[in-house]
Amino acid sequence: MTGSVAAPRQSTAPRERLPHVPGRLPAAAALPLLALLTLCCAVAALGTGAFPITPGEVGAILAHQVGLAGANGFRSDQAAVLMSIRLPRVALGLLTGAALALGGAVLQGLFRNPLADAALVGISPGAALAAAAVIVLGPVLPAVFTELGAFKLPLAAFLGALGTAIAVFRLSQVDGRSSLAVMLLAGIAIGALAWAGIGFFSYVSTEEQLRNLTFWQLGSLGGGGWAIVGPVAVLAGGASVLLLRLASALDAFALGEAEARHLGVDVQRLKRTGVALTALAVGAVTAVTGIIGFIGLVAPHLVRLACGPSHRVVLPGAALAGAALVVAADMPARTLVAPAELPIGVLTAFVGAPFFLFLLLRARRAWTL
Amino acid sequence: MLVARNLTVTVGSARLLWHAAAAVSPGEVVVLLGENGAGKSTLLKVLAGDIVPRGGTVDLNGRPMHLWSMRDRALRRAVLPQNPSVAFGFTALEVVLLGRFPHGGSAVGKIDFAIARDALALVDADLLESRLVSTLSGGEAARVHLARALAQVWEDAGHGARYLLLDEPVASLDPAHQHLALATARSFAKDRGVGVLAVLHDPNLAAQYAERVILLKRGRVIAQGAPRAVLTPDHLAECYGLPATVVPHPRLDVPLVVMAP
Amino acid sequence: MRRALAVALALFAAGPLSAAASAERIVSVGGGATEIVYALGAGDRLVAVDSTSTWPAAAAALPRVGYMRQLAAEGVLSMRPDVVVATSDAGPAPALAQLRTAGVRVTLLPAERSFDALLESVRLVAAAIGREAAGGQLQARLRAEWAATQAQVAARGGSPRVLFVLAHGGSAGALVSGEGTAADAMIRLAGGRNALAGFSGYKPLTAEAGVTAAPEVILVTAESVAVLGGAEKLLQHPGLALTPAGRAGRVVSFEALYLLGFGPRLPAAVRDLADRIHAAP
Repeated sequence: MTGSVAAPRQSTAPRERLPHVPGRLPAAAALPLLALLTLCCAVAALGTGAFPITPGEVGAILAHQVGLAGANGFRSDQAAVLMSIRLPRVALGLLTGAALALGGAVLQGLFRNPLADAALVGISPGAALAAAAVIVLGPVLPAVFTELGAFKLPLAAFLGALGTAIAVFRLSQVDGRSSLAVMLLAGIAIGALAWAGIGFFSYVSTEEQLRNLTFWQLGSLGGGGWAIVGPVAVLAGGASVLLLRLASALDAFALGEAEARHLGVDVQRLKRTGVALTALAVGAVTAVTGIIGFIGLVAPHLVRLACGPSHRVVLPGAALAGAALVVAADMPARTLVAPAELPIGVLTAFVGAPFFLFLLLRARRAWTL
Repeated sequence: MLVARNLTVTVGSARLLWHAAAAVSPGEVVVLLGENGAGKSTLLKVLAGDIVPRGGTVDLNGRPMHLWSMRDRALRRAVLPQNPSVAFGFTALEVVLLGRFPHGGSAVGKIDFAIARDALALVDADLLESRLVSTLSGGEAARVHLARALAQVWEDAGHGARYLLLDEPVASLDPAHQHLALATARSFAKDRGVGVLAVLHDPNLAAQYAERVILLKRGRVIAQGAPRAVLTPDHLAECYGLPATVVPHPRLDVPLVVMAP
Repeated sequence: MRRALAVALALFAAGPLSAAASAERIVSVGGGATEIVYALGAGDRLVAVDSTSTWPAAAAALPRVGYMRQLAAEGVLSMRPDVVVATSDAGPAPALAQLRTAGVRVTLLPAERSFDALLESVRLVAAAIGREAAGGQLQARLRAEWAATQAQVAARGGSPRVLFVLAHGGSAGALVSGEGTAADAMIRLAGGRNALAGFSGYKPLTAEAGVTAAPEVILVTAESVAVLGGAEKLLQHPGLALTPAGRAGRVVSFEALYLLGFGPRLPAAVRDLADRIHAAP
């Protein structure tokens, strides 16, 4: 309620901090909480799996690895499973969740829309198309490709993601500036093209190739050990760290491109950097894990719901939440049908799609997110 | 000074501005008047550095506009656009804090919070600071965005003269708040030495708050100068296409314009 | 971490000294590999199989480690195998590598679809699980059966044109086999001719392809028939209805693993196939 118009008045809230907004968790509490949650999920994931290892044995193995204790309290085969199968898998899960969530959050900031996602800008379909091409054309590819062995699929998927991202970006350039509306439409068009290509490859593939392709599209963290996780960590991890730095520019961007420019934001560079880094991060993990959906939508959303829309909280918060989500989803993937495994993409879709619908229903009434 | 000379701005074959000129000096309030489509917003955008004119020059503090980097422009001039909006559920205080972005990028310090709060108080919106802007009324949100522009050029940070460019800042405000906003703009000019340029629709507000008025018609300046000299029946009729009567204001020492078909 | 793996490897190797002699726990991946394990009399040592190991019935009752191309390393390891025998299709490669790093002996069988490859597979499996003697006996038995089978096939005259149709429910509909596939090999071994030539692998079944091929016999797996909705539906397919086989209703169907597994039942399967495709209409 506003009072007399004549004289300006002093605010009564504490001067140097953001006031408490009802319904919101302040960043100072939320981020450490999320970090703790992620750590707990990672620890729980280390203790989960088809191979029986008790929490005590997990602790003993880890303590021994860092030199805190001797080699007792566990068997060597348990140590092998934990260190060379479970630990890289959990690491990959954390990386994948963080990269997907960060990519989603940044795209949502660039499009100023909470429903934007890597799938919309053509990044995921691009990766999938390249993977399909490699799987189906495998025998026909030049010899140099087969040299790469187990790396040709990850490399191809990453290049595919980058290729479609660049194509979408170039298509959206109007008079030297990129139009986000055109970018969205170009992303949908390129994505449709990519899916048509995937359909074609599915059609001409053999039964064996089709199975490989289908499984890749369902997503899995079982892609390999440290030899594969290493390069992914460098690429996706590096891109993720750089993405975090876009936070305050993205906040200014929420006022619209023209206003952001008035505030001194280099809008062209922000868009270019945001899209390229997202393609790199998402492409690098998708190359190894296949398509794992909904993390880029759900994680940023949850953080916005809890802590408000400031990207300074949403970006790191989403990274942590995404990491926790993927690692948590991988636990039933590994245990529900043991000793077999469920594709993790199926689980994230099962939970993510209803959640997404719920969000849409809420947002229909009041687009306050 | 923020000065534009001999501007030509065209889009296709349409002439938005034709040999137009405008200048804002630190500490003065200039108002642009004209009918819809006269080129007021275009002129403001040229002064803001958004549009590069086909012909003519724009100088900011003595240097051509295109030589200033985006950030350097942001430190010296704030723009309040028509229909400002913000995506996502930011609070009023958070939106005003965005105005401090040029001054520190990602680092938001205590002084930024203090300035943001004072700016909100100045537009009589301090009680709204924790409200989501998307839940505010049109007028309340407009005042919050005005506070953001004020916060952007609040203090003299050693970068030279600052300017405030307001595009129809009072369109959605009730009369009391219209006067508050323009009085605030004027005090910004007088007390802080900021040069203010505002696009308005109401000649009477211009009469009350401007030192200089510029009348635009179809991209050309048809008159400019002190309100008393510019707001004459002939000029107003030419500018708006409506018969106008100008009488002395009953209470204030300014002209009062009455227009009716 | 490398040290832990080396220790594990050493312990696995040093443990039961002759690991090959007493490989107690076997995991088998691939229907053909599983059949060989049973034929060597070591079925009681199997602790888990993959989803394609459907014969014999006892195998169907074992825990499953998933689809052969999508193995989970930790899942397989949780079965504590000493040895894993796998057909060449097993994967993914990183999972197999992780199994090896954890000290499990992984034996991959040759990919070729032939009788000689079958003998070699028997030898490899027998060596892996320490049943060399049984392996030799099985090889001898197989050779004898094979000789008899080949004689029977040769005795039949004629070389019927056979078209192999595969339907796995994918978007491609029904596929037909060219050269170089397991089905193609079986057709030749049974004394028939592949109605389609000039390409390798599978391609979609079109009406033109079917009429050009003009097969006298349509060969399918029981699983494909089920996917298509029955033998009648199969014959109604435009690519097949107008062929000699379609008009005569000559459809020969076998279980997929029996027909294409190239396991120890190969001689019997070739004999049965030859009987059916040469049978008078």
